[in-house]
Amino acid sequence: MANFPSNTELLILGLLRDRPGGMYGLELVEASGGALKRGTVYVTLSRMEDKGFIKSRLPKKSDHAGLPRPHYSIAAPGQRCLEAAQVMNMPMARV
Amino acid sequence: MKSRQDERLEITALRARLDELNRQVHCGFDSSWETRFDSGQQMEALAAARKEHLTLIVARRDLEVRLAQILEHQLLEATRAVKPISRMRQGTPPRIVRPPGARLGDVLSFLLTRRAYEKIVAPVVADAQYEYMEAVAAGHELHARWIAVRLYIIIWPGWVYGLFASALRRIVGAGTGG
Repeated sequence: MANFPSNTELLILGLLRDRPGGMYGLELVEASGGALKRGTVYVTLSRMEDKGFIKSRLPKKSDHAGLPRPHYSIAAPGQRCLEAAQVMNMPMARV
Repeated sequence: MKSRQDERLEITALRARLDELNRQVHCGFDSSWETRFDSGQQMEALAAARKEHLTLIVARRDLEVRLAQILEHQLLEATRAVKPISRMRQGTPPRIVRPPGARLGDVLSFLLTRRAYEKIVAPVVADAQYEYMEAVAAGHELHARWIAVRLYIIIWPGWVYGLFASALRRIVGAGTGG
């Protein structure tokens, strides 16, 4: 179980599962209702991407003045972990 | 005299038109952080703008005139957002500046590893820039300024860490590399 998502990671997976089109980091922070912080959410997202739970896509050109924002979506391993967490009745997975 | 509400609606409509034309125009620009133009050169300078991520700062009372000029000349690659400033005097030439965090991001991309910068710092900066431009477009100057300040508050630990890590890499590299 070394690679099983933490509670925060399960929260993020739950939010992404409900949006098949994916979400931006800022949208995740807003949807979490304060559980995620804008300054640290990307550390968690980077770790989750390394584990294979989520995928990110960076547009070559941003749709606003500034750097392009990465867009995150749930990957198959993340989906499986979320389902396993729900079977085990872990609190964060109910989001 | 137009109300703030009417002015905001006009700005929103003009921005939409600007965004549309923006996709069709390619311009060149020098790399200075902030460039002031006199009124005679400004359109030529805007025509030369190649950098995409810029804000055009204008005096609030000149906003419609400036935007109309930009539309007329179809010069949009440089002006993804237009920021009207109440305290600027009417007739002051517009300035083109980069969005908040641009220079900070450049410094951190040098100090941090590429991975750390791309995965952690750049998205935070990008989010702040997105929120900043949204606030500017909505006419919320104070909120836009707060967003810029908040970005620096959030990023400073990464800046300190980056300085430390960069120094450490140089020391270790110098020690092992001889």
